[in-house]
Amino acid sequence: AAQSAALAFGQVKTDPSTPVEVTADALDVNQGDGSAVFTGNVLIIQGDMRLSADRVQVVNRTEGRGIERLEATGNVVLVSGTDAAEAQRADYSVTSGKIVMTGDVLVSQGPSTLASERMEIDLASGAATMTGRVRTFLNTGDQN
Amino acid sequence: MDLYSRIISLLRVFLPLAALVLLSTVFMMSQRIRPTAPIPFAPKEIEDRIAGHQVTAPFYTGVTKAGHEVMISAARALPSQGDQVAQVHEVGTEIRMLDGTRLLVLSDSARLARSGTKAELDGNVRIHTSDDLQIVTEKIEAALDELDVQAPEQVRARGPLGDLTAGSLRIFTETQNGPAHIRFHKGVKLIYDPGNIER
Repeated sequence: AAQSAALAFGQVKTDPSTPVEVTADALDVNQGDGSAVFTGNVLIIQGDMRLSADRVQVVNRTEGRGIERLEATGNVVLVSGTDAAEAQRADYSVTSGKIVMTGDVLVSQGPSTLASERMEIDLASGAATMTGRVRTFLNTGDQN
Repeated sequence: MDLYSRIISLLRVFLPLAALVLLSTVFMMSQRIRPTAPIPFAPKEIEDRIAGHQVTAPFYTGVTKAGHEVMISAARALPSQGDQVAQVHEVGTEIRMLDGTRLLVLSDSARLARSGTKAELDGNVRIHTSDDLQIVTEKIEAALDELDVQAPEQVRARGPLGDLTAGSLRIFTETQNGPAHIRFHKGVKLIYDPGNIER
């Protein structure tokens, strides 16, 4: 059965309407279809949340102006407070303040580490649910 | 005499008279032409024009290999002397792409290389794209035979994505008749404010 684990991710709540800062080596805007891609050491910062990746595709809103979603791929690491999560891909929906991480998700929270196929995080409430082969490792050793 | 011939005889008298009257008043209504009035150009200005061959609102129009139209207009231009290239001031450059998108570049001055394949626009350069991205920088180099506009120095931009600063910028087409790409590089920082987009 697809177990799922609910957890709190990140200490501080992030209000989805606070400004989002994106830094990267380069940004390419295709004037034909208006799509934009950040490449190289991309770092997305909003409030207490930091999402870093090699490449972030910007998906614009279908109606009206502004960004609908940021699709991060390649060495994706999400950090919020003292909690960190890694995955192959993270889709950050700027409008709703939700991040969906997919592919070998690994979350380290204090002494424990959780792994799963997928994790959804609601930045506003800090609530996260992990689904798909959820495994928990309690680090009994004192490495960290 | 019937009515018809009476009218004719009356007309034969009045028409010439009317003509005479009109002719005589023509001189009164004519414009004062005073041959001694000063000419609107100052003599010094004429010499400048002749010496500097200044041309007002000159146009450079050309088409790149891919068929994008390039138009450069300026308030004042000086021709090139020796190796010095043509100097133009208060410059408006427009590049019209095949797919209808446009690039409008305003700058204080521009230098057109004698070979005619490159233009350097500098001084308060403002680039405006048709999907209303506004870019401000100090200097850009624009190739004239293909779409390749480069801003080597710091660039600030504002557009649908928000406010952005970058180390430099290049506007080019990857494939010959592909869409134009606006590439900010040498470090990019974007501030996107979801708040004010919604308002």
